[in-house]
Amino acid sequence: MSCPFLEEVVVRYCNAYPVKKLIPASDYERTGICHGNFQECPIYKEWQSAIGEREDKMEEKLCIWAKLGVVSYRVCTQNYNCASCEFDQMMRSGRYGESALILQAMEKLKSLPADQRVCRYMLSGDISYKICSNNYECWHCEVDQMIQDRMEYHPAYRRRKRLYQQIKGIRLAPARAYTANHLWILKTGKDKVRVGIDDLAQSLLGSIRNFEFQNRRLMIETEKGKVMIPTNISGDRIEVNQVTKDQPEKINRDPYWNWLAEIRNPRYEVNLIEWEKAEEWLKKELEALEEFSRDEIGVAVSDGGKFSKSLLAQLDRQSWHRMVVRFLKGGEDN
Amino acid sequence: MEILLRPVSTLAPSLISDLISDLDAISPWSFTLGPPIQNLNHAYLPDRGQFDADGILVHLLNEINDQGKVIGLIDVDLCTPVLSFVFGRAQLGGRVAVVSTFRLDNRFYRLKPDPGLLIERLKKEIIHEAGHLGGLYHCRNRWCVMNASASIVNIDLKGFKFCPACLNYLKERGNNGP
Ligand code: SF4
Ligand code: SF4
Ligand SMILES: [Zn+2]
Ligand SMILES: [Zn+2]
Repeated sequence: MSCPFLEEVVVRYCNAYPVKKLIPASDYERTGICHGNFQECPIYKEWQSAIGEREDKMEEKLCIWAKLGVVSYRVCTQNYNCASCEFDQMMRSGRYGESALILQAMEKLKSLPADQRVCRYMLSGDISYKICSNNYECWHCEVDQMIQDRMEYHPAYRRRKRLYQQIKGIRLAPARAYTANHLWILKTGKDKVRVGIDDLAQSLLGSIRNFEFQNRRLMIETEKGKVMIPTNISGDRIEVNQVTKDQPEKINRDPYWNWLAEIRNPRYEVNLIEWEKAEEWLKKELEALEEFSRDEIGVAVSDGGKFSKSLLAQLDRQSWHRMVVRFLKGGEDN
Repeated sequence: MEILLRPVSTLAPSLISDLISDLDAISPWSFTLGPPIQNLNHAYLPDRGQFDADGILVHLLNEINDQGKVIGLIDVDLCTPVLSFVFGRAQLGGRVAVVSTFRLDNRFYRLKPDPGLLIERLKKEIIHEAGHLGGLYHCRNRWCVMNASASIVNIDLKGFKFCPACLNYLKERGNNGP
């Protein structure tokens, strides 16, 4: 039993406030627990901003690939250390194919507000932070130039070169379709493709000096003379890559990165060799290349060795011409 | 099928005699020692410091007289116009082939010389080239002697034997079984 003078009240107090000020339940209904405008309370404000930050952090923790919409959802568990992240490597290797993916990502980046348009080389971990101020026109950007130059000799970048498969010294780039005469085609948009020559063509042609698209044919001027190669592709518009046009030697360095032209609504008059079948096809082509021999011998087969650019381009005139006809289905243009 | 082996004179004769008895035992063919190859100068490519395999094949073809087949054994670095080097080269289903010991020798890879291993590799390459002369193309089976070897490791991996498919092909073309 209790004392009759003792009044029993239900009280509340603010969990956050340092002093536990008791407030009778009857008052609480009327005035609210903190007797004031809680939005103005410093403790409340601090708490509120902390939540905000936490939410921002959650947003930030999304994997870069998810942010770009390339994969639908993924939270980064590697603290954005993409260079050593297996998922990142998977995304940029093998069957996914680096270039197509990066291009796709770049398309997404273009649609973001200016301060979020990060340089494509941030995605690949080559540089830590840079906003692209060049509208993703990497082909005339010094950042791009710098990275490409570094890739030439720096051991840390050489690793990436392995993204190209090598068959007996001839590189094969993923995600592209190929034509039987060694052109490649890469889809870069809904109705757009890029066209280039493959590494075998590049090796065979030697130093490229100029090129031009002429009515479903591609004229390439090399150290050996002019060669006409049928493209068997037509389209609504053929836009030549001005950078490779100005510096055609880039094609010899990396024929897959240095495309020749962009074609809108392409139409093909030949069957393309899809990427899945490209390796098998290139192996056969290289076998055929190995069989090339002096006329007296007929078909000869050999064991060992690699093809190299210097060798193919240095063939004597007659054999070189035979190879251009056989492999590029082309002819000399006098 | 008779196959004449024509070594260059700089290859040790003891190496060759051991080779011939072994080859007869492990291959469907019978090997005999032919006259040595006198001179390779005509096939030398000064720009590359190597010897043109096709040049040597042409030379062997010019000196062939009866109906047999010939495999030249040489000890200098071989290449073709498009390949940086070759271990050997043969006319497909033809009459002449050539094998070089140059890159079969451990010393080329700066490893301790191993004469036994050299003979083993040489035997594989001779049988391989003989297979080409018998009309066989390269085989996808990694263990088959007709597998194409891009490097010395591939040669060491494969065996002396033909896989059943290759062996069958040879039998159908009148090569006797081993
Ligand atoms: S580390 Fe992996 S999970 Fe994190 S952002 Fe890079 S790719 Fe995405
Ligand atoms: S244009 Fe330059 S800054 Fe922009 S994405 Fe390309 S390389 Fe990066
Ligand atoms: Zn072979
Ligand atoms: Zn086989």
